[in-house]
Amino acid sequence: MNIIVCVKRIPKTAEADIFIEKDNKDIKKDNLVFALNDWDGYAVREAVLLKEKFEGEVIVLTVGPDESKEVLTRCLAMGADRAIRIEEPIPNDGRLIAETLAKVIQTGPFDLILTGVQAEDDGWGQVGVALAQILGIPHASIVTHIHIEGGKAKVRRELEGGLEELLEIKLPAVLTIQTGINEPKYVSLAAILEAEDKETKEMTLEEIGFSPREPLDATIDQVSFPPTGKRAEILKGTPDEVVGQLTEIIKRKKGS
Amino acid sequence: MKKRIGVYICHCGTNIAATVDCEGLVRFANTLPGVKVARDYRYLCSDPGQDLIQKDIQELSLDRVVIAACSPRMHESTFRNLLSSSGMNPYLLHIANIREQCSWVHQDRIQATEKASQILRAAVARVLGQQALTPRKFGIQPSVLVVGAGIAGIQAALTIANGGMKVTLVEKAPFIGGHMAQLDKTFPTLDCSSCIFTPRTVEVARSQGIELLINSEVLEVTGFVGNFKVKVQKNPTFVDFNKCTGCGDCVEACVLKKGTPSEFEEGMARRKAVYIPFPQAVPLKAVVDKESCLFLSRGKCKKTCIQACKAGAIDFEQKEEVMEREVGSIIIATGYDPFDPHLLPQYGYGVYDNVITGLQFERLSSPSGPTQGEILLKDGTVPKAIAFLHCIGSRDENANLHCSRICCMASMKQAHLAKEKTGADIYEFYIDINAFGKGYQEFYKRVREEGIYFIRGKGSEIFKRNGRLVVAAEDTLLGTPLEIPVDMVVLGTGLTPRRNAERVAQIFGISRSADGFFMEAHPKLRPVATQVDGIFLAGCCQGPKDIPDTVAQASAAAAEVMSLLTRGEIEIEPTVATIDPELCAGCKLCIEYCPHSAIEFFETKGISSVNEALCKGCGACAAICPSKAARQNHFTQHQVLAEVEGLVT
Amino acid sequence: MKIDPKTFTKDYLLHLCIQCGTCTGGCPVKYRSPLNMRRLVRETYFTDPFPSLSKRAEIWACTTCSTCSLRCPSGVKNVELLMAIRNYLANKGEVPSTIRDALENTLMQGNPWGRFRDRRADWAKALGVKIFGEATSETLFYVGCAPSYDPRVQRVATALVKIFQNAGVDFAILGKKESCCGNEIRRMGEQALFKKLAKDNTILFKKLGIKKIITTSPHCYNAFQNEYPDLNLPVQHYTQVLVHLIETGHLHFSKELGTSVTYHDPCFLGKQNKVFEEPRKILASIPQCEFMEMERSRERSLCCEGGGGRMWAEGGTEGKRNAEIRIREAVSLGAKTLATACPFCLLTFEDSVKTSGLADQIAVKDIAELVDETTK
Repeated sequence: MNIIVCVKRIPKTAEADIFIEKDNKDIKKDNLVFALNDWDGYAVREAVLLKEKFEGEVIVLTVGPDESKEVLTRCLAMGADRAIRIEEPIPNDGRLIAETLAKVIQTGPFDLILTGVQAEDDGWGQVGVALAQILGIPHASIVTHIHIEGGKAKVRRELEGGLEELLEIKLPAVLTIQTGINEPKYVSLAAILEAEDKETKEMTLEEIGFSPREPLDATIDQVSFPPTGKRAEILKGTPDEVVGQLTEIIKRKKGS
Repeated sequence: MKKRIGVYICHCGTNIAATVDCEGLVRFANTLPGVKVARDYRYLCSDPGQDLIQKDIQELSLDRVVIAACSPRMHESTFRNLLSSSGMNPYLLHIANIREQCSWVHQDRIQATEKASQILRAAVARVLGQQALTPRKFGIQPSVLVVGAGIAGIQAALTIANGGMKVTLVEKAPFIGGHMAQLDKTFPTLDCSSCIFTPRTVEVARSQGIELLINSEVLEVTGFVGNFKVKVQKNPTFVDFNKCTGCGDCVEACVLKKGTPSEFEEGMARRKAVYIPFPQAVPLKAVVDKESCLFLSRGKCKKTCIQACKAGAIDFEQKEEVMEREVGSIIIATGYDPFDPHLLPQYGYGVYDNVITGLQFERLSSPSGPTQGEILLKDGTVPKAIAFLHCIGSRDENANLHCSRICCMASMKQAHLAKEKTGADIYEFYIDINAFGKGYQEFYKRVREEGIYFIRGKGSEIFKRNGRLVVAAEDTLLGTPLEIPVDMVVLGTGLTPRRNAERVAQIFGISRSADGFFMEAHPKLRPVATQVDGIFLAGCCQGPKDIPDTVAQASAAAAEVMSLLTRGEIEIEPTVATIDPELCAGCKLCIEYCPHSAIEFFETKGISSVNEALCKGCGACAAICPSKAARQNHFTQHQVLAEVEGLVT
Repeated sequence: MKIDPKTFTKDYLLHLCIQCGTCTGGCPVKYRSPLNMRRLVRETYFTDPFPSLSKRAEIWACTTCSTCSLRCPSGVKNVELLMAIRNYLANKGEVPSTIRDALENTLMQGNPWGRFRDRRADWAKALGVKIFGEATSETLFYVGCAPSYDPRVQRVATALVKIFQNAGVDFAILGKKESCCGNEIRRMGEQALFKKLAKDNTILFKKLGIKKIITTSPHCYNAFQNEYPDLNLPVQHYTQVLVHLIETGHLHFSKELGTSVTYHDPCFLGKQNKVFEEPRKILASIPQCEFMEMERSRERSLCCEGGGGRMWAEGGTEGKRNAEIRIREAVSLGAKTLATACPFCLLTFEDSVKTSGLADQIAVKDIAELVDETTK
């Protein structure tokens, strides 16, 4: 079974101090650490688990600049067999990314394509779905379980309200993977250093024979912090003092 | 004059012949200059082999002999004796080692034979230049110095004195008996230690042949086998032993109320500044300890002891006294120090009152000890549970690697005594039980039958919980960690070299083995001798031993000494250095480098000279001498260079 | 970095083991987990249990306090063996998820908690501390991860800064350039990451012209002192520095403490690096500080279970925590304060003092805080 996993390098923002660029189009990234998109990590792990069961090859694929190579190396350390990077700044357009990926994917055989449900940075959740559309194959999103049997995949999807949906999908197909589908393994530094020896193919848009349409369907107008809500109150002081204030507030609210 | 050399090549069964072509070697030897005859034989060291050589010596008038065989360490003396008995000077022999240095370390027959040929050629070249040498003879003093009066020293001294020779017995402590005097009962027979020991100490005191010097130390040893000169310092006891009756009135009178920890009681009791070490002490005299005596340490005391002594024996004017003795031989029997468990802090020794050493337990258990033989805790109560921990300070990389040999048995004996006296629950924490002696395994079975719990696991740690001591360990046979509460812990402390062993070794010029104990000349064949001729070892100073082994070794040392002394004279190997007075420039460099202090400088002549009796023939002086005045007999430059040339041509 | 179980016997001297059980008998987690060091040595010596090792949670129970190795009569390197097993598992990716996160965080943010690298020196903002890059000094005060980020331990770092300033010590901190020392990383089995940290830190220290290092934590002290191959700089734990400042008259006590204090020897300071006297000397110089010694002290100090990656491990142990046993021992002694000199000890004790409901009977303090309180 040959599986292609599409991944993305994203900045980690959860713990960081965020500042916005002067043109209000993006956040400042020079002080941030970058990593493999969390959802994509689950997708790669899932692909490697499927490969362990059915044999075949796992290829990781990304569109991005030179720095994106580090996330490919990580994927290779996780057990992917080879990697392809399309040399291009990551576009702010899901469909454009999907078209670029499709151009590469169409050149070889595959049984399954996995992507993350969405990217941690922009959270659009478009690429997987658009990719299926362009390739003209079925897809399922927010997948939490995959069971392959005779050219078909039985997949469970996560729905709102704690519901699940069980689908049967004809392969090849695109599945966008939800976090928690598996237990990620630790990727040791030793494994990463070793993975640097595995094959990573780098191609330009020209080389894959793709020229993007201009202008794009969507452009970013502005990035900003949401307005501070009136009911939010930041407590100040030592941890002990903060706990004291918090206790008082809870007591007060409970009474009202 | 043409030399007539006989070359003999030994097959050593197949040891040599399997790898070296011995017949080819014979053919090769015949081509060498000066060789009159060359032969090979299966075993040259056998009687027919020796007869063969003797016949040639006599019939062919050989004047040099080369034996190509095993290491000279094995059979040089055999063949030297053969030369002597055949009318030749024994130093006209040379051994070519073609076994250890050739056949045993090579596999290729052709190459090994080639190497053997080279060794042989070197030997023939060397033997051509060898000269006849004659051993020197010296008379022997028929007297012996025994250092240390524990059971080893006492046994050796008595054996020698009973054989009619004079013994000077030097003991550092103010009494004799050593550690054995401290023991309660002895394993595996449970004889009372003092019952079997006191007759021997009394015999020492009464023996006409033994000069007993207590409170004394050897300061310096010079001379050589048969003629040692020894300086002994007798430290003051501040009591005139000729007057002291051992009544103990002075002890009663001593004003040091709190006292000081008693060495003999291992700190389990206190003594006064003037004291009689223990009731059966020999000599049974009072002594003053200058450290704790208020008058001697601070100069301030009412000196009630002087008033109390009816015999007028107390003498604060006593000074140390240095005396000299001339002896033919020396036995070192300086014993051991028990391991100090402070060094392994996990056992809480010194932190908890009721964590004690094996020797402290002996004092508790001894009827003459601080509790009159009752096993009591510090607070005077009887323990309900006691743990014995084996291998404390022994078999331990963090302390001493050696096995102290006695602790397993001593621990089990103490467990037996403790069980008998207290009925307490007894736990033995052990790694292996080393019950190696006669009747020891039977004793081990006996204590198991007595209901003592054996736990296979080394005690890891002692701490206190709810007022009781807890032994933390693992029952390794179950794989279960344990924490057993007890009231008393007895640490099976090992035996270590005396703290001053290095200094003692220097005084006598002997070596120490890796474990720090004094080193015997050969672990199997010369176990009581040292590398210094005429100096022997007995007891635990050579390594941990139980009483039977100590007594056996002491008797053996006595036998060696008597064998040496009854000869009346001693031959000294002539392979010593000489200094040519014509060439010596008097630079004294050789004196600095001589490890045996065998070279003296004669101020009047301005030259150095070798004392042949002290010289061990190491060659250091010959190597260092800038004017080539120092020469090593049997290893002259001419001989050595001839050998080297033989090897490299 | 390759780990080969076949060479374990030779590498960790397993063949010297005489199976005496000293290791297991003295193990602080012997009742808290199925970990049996003696058996582990035997198994790895004689059989090949590696396929099953990853399924054994107890591999992660060891606190690397090293009591076993230090007491082993045969010189077996038990703790190194255990770390090699962890290394073997880490290289295969088979580590518990919380340990995995700690290791990944360290690679990404330079600290096992995954806190933002740029906020590492936030605690020091108002203290007027020199930061390398903006200023220089020969002395580096290496703060450490826990003292940089954990609000409780930040108080220790703050106290130390005030003491140093008070005593006129010239020093600077690395600020956001400071990365984890790697001591715990190595103990969680990530040998390659440890090597990277050691190399990067060594290069950084040398580049900044640092001549001497002071650490808050005994764990960092241990790494710099014993495990950095090319550092070759004098390293001191802060207790050693404070003793010197007190003895040379640079630090004066101006207040009385007025309470009773007992001291818990951190394993990485005491047992492993033999720093026993300095903390006691400091406590002895604080006015009106009634010092009480606990039953299990110095070499017999009971491990608080904060080391060896246990700060990030979940589960693997059961029963009463050693930290709680320790708190109870201190309380029964009558001490009003349990002092220690290690961020991990401090945190485990703070936890246990609350969970055991003894917070009103005893306070947990770092020695640095006690000194700061009495020298202001």
